[in-house]
Amino acid sequence: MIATKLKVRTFGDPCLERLSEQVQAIGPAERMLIESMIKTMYVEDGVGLAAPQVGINRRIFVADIGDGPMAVVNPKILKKEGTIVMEEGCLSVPGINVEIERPHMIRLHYLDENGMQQEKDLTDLKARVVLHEMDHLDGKMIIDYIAPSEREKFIRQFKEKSDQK
Amino acid sequence: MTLDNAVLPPWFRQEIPDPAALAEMRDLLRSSSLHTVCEGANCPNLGYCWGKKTATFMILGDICTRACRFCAVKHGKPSLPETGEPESVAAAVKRLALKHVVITSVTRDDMPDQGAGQFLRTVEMIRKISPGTKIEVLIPDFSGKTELVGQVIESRPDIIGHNIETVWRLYPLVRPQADYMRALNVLADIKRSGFEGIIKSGIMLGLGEIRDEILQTMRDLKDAGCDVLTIGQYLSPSQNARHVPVERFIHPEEFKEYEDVAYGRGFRFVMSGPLVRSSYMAEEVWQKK
Repeated sequence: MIATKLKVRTFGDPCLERLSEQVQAIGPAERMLIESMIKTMYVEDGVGLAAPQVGINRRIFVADIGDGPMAVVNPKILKKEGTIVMEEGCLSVPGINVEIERPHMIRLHYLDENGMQQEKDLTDLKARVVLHEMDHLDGKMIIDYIAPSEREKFIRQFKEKSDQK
Repeated sequence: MTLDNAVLPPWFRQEIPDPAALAEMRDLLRSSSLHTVCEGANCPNLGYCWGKKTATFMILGDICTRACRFCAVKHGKPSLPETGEPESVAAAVKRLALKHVVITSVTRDDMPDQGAGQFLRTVEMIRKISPGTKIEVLIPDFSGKTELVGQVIESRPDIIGHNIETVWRLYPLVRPQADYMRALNVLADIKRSGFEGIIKSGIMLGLGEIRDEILQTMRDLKDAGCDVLTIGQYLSPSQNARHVPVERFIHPEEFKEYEDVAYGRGFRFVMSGPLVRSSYMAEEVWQKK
């Protein structure tokens, strides 16, 4: 079986709003999903992609911030420090960018694609991508960080851009 | 997640600011209803400067009547300026025991004196309450009206700055409501008036200008009477169509080259680097004298 490019769900799709479930075991199916997610992420020019974005509500995401692809299963944040603000975009809300304050440093615990336990300290952009993708696993998106008054405007903007396509 | 612009080059690594210092400054600003351009323009040096108890106050509100395409400050229809603003600013300067304060403003084309009077009163009030503080003002072009620039000169700040921002060719793109020659004339007016303080200007790189244009602008600024020059990297305030995207990230070594050229041209003090902004380390000018 070859990894295939998956369809990225966009704002409004119920998959993006659900809480995703823990992965019970990592087998060939999960590894195939991870490969396909990595391929999809590269094709779509993202630095991270979470399983809910391809319609699968499981606690898995992939990322590549320049060090090569990483797969993260059942992530947990053990520690966080500091804050830093940066603008983020999302494949599920294309064309929209939001400034979000997030921790500067995190300690991440997860299982890799082979089911091995990993613990990493991440800072700056790496931490940010992880936190962004973890939000997806809880049904949260960058739009949720905007003040309610502004959110209406963004949603309208997004709908206009989608209609233009 | 996606990143639309290229990730900032590695030389943009910033120290994480001290939350306590930031909180103190924020509390003071909120309680006195003061604005800073530090916040208004999303300056990347905010953490550094506020940690050193330096800030650039922005008077005349936080809404600008122009819409320069490099600027994060809100544009639109401003409200009447606060009458107690000069006193508030001066009180904050005293409370923070600032050795050097920079006062800037939004552009107020809607006011009869375009805000010149508020600059005058603010400088005078600071002089009165905090006589040891060096005062630098960074002024708008006052639509080129010499008598309004004159009011600011009259208040006798230590430094008057007016930023040329970019090269002549890019003005229609970047500053559609301003004029390159007008900006130079503001500086020339200050020089001609016999002002005894320091005349300062700043330019941003990375908007699409070429080397020859930068050198020409330096020449023009020197001819207009500019003593001090700041050169920094343009960072786009947002991904909106309103803001010009960053065309190029200039390497710190290239910034250093421009610094050397500027000193060679006779500028008395030059700050040149990716994070340099007009008021960045503004107090350093006194060391170089």
